[in-house]
Amino acid sequence: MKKNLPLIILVILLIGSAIFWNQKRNEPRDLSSNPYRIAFIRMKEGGQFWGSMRNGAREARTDTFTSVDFFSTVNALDIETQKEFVEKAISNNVDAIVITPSDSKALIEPLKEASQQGIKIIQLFNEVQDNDIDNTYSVLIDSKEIGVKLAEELINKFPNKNLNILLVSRSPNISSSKYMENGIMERLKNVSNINCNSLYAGSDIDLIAERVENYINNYGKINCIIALDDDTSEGVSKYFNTESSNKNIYYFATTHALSNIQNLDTGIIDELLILNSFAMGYQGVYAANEILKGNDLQEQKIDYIFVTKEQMFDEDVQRKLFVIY
Amino acid sequence: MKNKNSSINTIFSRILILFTIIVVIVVATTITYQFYKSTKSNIEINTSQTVIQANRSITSFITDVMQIGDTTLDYCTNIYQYGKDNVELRLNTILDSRNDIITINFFDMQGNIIVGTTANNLRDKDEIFYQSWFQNALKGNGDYYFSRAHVQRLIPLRYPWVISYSKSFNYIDKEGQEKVGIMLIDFSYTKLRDIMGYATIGKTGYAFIIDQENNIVFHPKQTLINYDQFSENIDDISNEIYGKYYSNDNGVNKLKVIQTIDYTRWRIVGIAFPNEMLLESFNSFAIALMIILAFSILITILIAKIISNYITSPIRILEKQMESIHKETFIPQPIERASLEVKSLSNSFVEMSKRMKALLEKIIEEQELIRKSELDALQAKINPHFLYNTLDSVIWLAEQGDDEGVITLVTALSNLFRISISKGHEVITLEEELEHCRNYLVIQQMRYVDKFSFNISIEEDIKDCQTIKLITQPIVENSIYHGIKYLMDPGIIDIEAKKYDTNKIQIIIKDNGNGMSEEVRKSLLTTDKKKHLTDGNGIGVYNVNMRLKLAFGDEYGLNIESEIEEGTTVTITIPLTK
Repeated sequence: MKKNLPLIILVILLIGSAIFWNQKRNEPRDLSSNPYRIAFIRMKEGGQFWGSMRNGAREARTDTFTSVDFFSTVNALDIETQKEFVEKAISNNVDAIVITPSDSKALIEPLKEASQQGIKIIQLFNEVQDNDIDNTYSVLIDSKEIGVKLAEELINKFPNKNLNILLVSRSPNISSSKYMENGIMERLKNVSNINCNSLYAGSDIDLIAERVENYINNYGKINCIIALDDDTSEGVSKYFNTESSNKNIYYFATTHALSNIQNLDTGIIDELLILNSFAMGYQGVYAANEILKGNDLQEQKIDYIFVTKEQMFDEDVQRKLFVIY
Repeated sequence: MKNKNSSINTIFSRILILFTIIVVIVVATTITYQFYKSTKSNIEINTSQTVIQANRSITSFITDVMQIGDTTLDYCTNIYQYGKDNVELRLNTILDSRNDIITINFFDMQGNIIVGTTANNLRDKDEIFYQSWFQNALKGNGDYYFSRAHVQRLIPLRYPWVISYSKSFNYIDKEGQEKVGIMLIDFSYTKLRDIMGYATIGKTGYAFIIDQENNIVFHPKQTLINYDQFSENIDDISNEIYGKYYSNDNGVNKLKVIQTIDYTRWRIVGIAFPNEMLLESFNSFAIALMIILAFSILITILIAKIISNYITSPIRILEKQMESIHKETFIPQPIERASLEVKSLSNSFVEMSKRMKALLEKIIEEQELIRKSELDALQAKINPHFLYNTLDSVIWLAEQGDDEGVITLVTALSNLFRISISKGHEVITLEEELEHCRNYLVIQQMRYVDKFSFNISIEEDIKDCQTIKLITQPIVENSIYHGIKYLMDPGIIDIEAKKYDTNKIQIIIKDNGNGMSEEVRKSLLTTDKKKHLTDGNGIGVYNVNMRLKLAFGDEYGLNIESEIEEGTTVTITIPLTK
């Protein structure tokens, strides 16, 4: 009997394991038991652009069976709160942080700390100015290329017109809008009939509208405004909705926020830049899961389109522009 | 099997387990094949049923929409008969009762609204006129048209995703003239999502709807498709309207079940992932199979154990009996509960054991006889030697005319022989033994006149103790011949028998003769019989020592102490036996 004892124990263990495994299989899938926990930190809550990003992340969460904790600030420039979110994610022992940094400098230290704790960092849409942070991967839209394309769009649209462009963005420390600004500036620097200036107007809609109005009043030659993000687009639209606004200014807005779509439909916005924020959210979580699994990732290109009022109901455009609820 | 030392038990268990595994594998393979076939068939049936059910639900909904269209069309056809406000009220009543209907509108040929639920807040007629649902209805010439999912472009600043049902119709205008109009019913895209939400196939399968131009009307992953995060390959089914097809999309095996939805020219496509579903079902099956296999092996082991124990336990008993055969007290018993072969083996062993035991006893008996003969022979060696010398003394006394001396000597000789014979007994009392020694000394004293004196003492309580006979006389003989015979002064021989320890007796024979060298002393007790025979010295002493050890064991026998010119002391140690 003693000789066969190991075999009998093995068989009993085999049966036990099989029964246990079978029981576990029949249990409903518990997301919290998934090995990967991801913190998804957006720089702003609300609006179709950020909502789509969250929806993309949710879809990826469903497809990858990861557990995703969502964090977002109300104000896009609430850097301190975003830092706290990073700290909270670290204390929650997440495996990865997918983040849209609201400041390319201020978030360096918290993200470094997270990286030192072995947390994978996936920078989404924006990035911080530090190449020394380990464990990082970026899901970025080519903002500089967008800037160049946007500039070419204007050059083609107004080949002989003298343009005084005002670039409006929240802050010089937000990489996506800064790269876009750089692309525009770089493309237009040798174009003699186009002049370009930047205005960093913050994230408060009323203040943006006021600052834009002041700028236009002070530099009366402005005949084109490009708002480089959702907040400034909303602020500039607010300016154009005032009776005193200069209706002859060509207005280029960014993101498919519902207000931007409506302003495009009513003619306040002349052209709209749509960034695929859904894809950003999806790819961010997907990338985090793949990195955590140790898989190699190919660089994902996030698409974008320029939309005019005439195109907004085209079949290909409406898919990107209007969210299915 | 490789281990040559494996027990029958192990071999039997292994064979039985191997056999069971082979049987289970053969049965499992057959069942698995049948399971695969039936599961595959079930997957196809389940997928088809899901698609059929979804088709019925969609058809039912479409029929509802078309019935609403027919009903409202009747109102609009006779709008001026019913009155515009009355028709509008009826349309709004229908709209309020159905949260899946977004708008019900009727337009003239130019895109102007005739009547509808959103009549007061519409986009420009040109914007409406060029929309696909309008143009397709117009071209349809009375045939209805179902659009793909699109963003409604009717009401400014509202952008719901809808599917449009449109149709051209004839109506009588204010002037009583027959005109052509376009009916539009927009229903919510989310209604399709609700209906199709139930059409899940397995864990990851799904169903979607395509139109006759192979454009997707509805897809559960529509958002992912819209944002280019997912694409559906429909090339291989673009020309199929009904049936089931297997395809391999980028290494993923898919089952596609297609059905046509009535009225719409749409097709519903169910996508199942058979490998995944098979694997999922097979997991449960494999677990059940593993449990059966494990139980079979366990039961087989137990059965093998019981059977092999039944077979091997008598063999083990036999083995133990064989191991115990060297013990004198062991008596093998035949094994009753065993197979015929083992019983036969056991009986043979018992017989063999009995014969061996008998043979052993016979050998012991023979050896005893040999030993006794040897002793007898040793003993016999004393008599002729001594008799010759004594008779020589008798002759000498007789020649001297010493009758009294002759009498004494012959009497002593007579006593000597009486004790020697002892009626054939080997064992005598210690008193008899010393008496025998005394007789011998008396004889020798008469032979060697005034040459020595002797003294014999024995403790009273050991007189009756048993000893083998003729153990002192050879020692005394040696003292006389080799110790005292050549002394110038009279010799003395002291013999003392006393208790030693609690269970031993010592007979100490002490003389004051010439003594002997250490070499001679050692040689007296040597086992080299040849040396004694060659020298002629000490053979008697050696014999006594041998007899004592044979009779009582190695701890008994002689001890000799001697010193040149001082004398010799021989100590005989025997057990205290009464």
